[in-house]
Amino acid sequence: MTDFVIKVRNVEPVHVLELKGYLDAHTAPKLEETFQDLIDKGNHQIVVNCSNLSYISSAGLGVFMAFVEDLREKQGDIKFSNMTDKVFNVFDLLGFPLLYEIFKDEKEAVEKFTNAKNN
Amino acid sequence: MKLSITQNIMTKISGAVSLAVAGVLFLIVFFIDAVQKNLEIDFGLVVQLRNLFAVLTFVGIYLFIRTIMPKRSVQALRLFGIIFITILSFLAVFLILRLISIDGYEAVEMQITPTDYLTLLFFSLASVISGTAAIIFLYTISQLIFFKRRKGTQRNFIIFLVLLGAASLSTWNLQSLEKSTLSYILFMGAVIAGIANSFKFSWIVYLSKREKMFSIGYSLLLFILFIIFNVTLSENGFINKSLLYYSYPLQFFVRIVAIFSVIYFGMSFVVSLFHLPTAEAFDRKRIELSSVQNLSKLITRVFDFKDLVQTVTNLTIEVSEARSAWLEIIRHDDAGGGTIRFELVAHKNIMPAEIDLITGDDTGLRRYSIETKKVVVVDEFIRDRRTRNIAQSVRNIGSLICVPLLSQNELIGILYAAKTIEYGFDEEDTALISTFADNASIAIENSRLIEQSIKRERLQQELMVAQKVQKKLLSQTIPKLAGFELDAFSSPAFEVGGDYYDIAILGEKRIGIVVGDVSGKGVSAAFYMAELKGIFQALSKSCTSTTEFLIKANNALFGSIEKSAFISLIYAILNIENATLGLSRAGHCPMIHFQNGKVNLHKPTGIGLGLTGASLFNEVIEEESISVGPGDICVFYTDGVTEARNPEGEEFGTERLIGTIVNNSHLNPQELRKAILDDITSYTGLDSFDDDLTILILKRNIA
Repeated sequence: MTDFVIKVRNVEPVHVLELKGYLDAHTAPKLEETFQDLIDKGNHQIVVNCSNLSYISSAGLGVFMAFVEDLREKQGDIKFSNMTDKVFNVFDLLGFPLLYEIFKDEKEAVEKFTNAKNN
Repeated sequence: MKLSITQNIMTKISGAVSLAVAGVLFLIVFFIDAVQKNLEIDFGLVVQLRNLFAVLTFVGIYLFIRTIMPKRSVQALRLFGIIFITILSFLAVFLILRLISIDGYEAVEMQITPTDYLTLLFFSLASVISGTAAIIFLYTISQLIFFKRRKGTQRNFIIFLVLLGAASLSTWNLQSLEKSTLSYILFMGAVIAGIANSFKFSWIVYLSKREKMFSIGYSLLLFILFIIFNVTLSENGFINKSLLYYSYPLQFFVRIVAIFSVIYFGMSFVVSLFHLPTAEAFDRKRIELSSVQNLSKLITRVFDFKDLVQTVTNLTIEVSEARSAWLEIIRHDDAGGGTIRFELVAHKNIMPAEIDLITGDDTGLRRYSIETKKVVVVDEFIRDRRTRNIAQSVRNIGSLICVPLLSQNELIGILYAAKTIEYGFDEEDTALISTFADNASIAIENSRLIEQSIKRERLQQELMVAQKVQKKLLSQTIPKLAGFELDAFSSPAFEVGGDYYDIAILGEKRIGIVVGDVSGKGVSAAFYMAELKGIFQALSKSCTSTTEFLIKANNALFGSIEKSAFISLIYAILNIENATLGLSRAGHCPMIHFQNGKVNLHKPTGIGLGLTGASLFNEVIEEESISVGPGDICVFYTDGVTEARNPEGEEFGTERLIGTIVNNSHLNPQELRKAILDDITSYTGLDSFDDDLTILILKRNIA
């Protein structure tokens, strides 16, 4: 089985999810759990760092779709950063860049959250 | 069947004939006696015949009795019953005869001669009745002795019978019994042989404790009754006088049988008494044995889970002599993320409400079983700290045992048994139930496995049906187009998939070509694929442009499908007349356009269906117009093609796909598709595809 690891970092007030490995139909439930857990604890600002994500399938993309509406209603969001070209290509094909903010660097994504709050 | 009925009838007929012959012989003897008494003449030969007939009367009676008595392998206590009824009847008749004073006879020492006809009749009847009773006793006791035949059993009994016969017949020609030493030696021999045969009590072993108690009572009673029987045969008794008159051999026979009976039932009483202390252990062993047999029955019941668990519960009661028992099985809730639930699957002699109290959280019995997987015994239900709180509400329980059912060291259920007495479950019981539970676990686990595999089999069959349905949903026939060739291929990763393609004739010169991919795989994807097919069939004809269709399709899907689900789609409308292709894309893989040795990837903007509402979707969607020249190839595909992976985990990719198309651009669409699939399988090293995969190829003819 291909590996998929999620690391959650707290960069106040944002939570950064570092995804590593293959995100597909088999590993998607793991990510779902992590999202549910964060939301249950009232964390609504989430940055997904994709630097080590080697593959994402439609089932993986579905996880973000499942939670983003709820998060946005609660003044939160999901933003992406550090995508490899390959992963970006998958996002891009589906039109995700039109639905999500995607940043080159995690810091930018986090700042986007904090700046928005300050304003 | 027919044979045994015929046999039955034959037996009955021969019995009736024997009885009739005996009756006739009796009458003949009576007639001779009556005549002789009157004439007071010694007839010599006639006397010999009369004595022979007297003996043969009883042979006839024996043959008749044999046909009416129960056959072999009858319960010992039933045989006791027969003897008991016979001797009581005999003694009753004897008492009645005692009430009528009979004194019409002359007695010279042991020679008895009746002087009137009434006495003669009474003598004759009394002889026949006591002879018949003796035959019944002997026959029934022989059944007890032969209950379990061992080496010598039959031989010993035959020796006894021979001595009995010899002693009886040795008196044949005697004038007076007193004078024959030989007869008395044979008499003693027969009695000793009778004693030797009185050690056969194998039937006692097979009695339960309760039956042994009965046996003691019966034996004692019969022992006493047979002593009375012997007393009635004593020298001065009426019966003895009758017999002495009627037939010396009969008198010997009846007396030996009477002595033998006293000895046998005396012994029977003593032996039963000695067997009593061990009766319980024997009972236990017997139950153990039968429960082992029953366990093998369990194995045949694994096909019916309900039947199996009820049998286990019933056998638990049998094995442990408990009053009530019940069985709980653990069910794993798939949805609840590993939480377990106990389900009461069988119970006997106890209310489910009471079970709820006992196994509920108050007692912690279940928790203990889960944590330790060990047997719990509650000796004092009313005082035990675990159960005293609920003892008020649960009646008739003195002690309780909870036995975990384990399969490969996993708890699969708990078996409970309860007794009304306290300290009801001793070590032996515990060991016995534990052993039983081990075997029951195996049977239950097997049953569950069978159930599961049947379920899986059914699911598999349903999936096969779904697969057939889905194949029908995918365009069955590829339409023939003037100047163009088309080919389409789709293969799901599992039985059913989320890929979709379709070709619709929109008008005389317009053809709609669609390729789509539902997110995820398997059954859920297949449902949306079917929905997509419906949407396409319903909307495509009424839409003039590709964007119009995609907008309408998104409207139909957004909000109606799961949040996490979406569909990528590419839609082209081919105008055959001017060879142009209108193309729009909703998040799908680009269309590869091969033209004059070059390749263009057409990727008009568009978001996947179901991802966003009309405002954003409609705003960004684009339509491209592409002119298709002679020899041009348009390839539509799903990501199963480009994401096919080699053993190193690298994807086949768009570049390789383009390379294959360029290298095989001279082929027709069907051949080109095969070439692409060949390239993919040789790249992945697999015979099949592990993702849903679809390719649709449109080629314009050169001429």
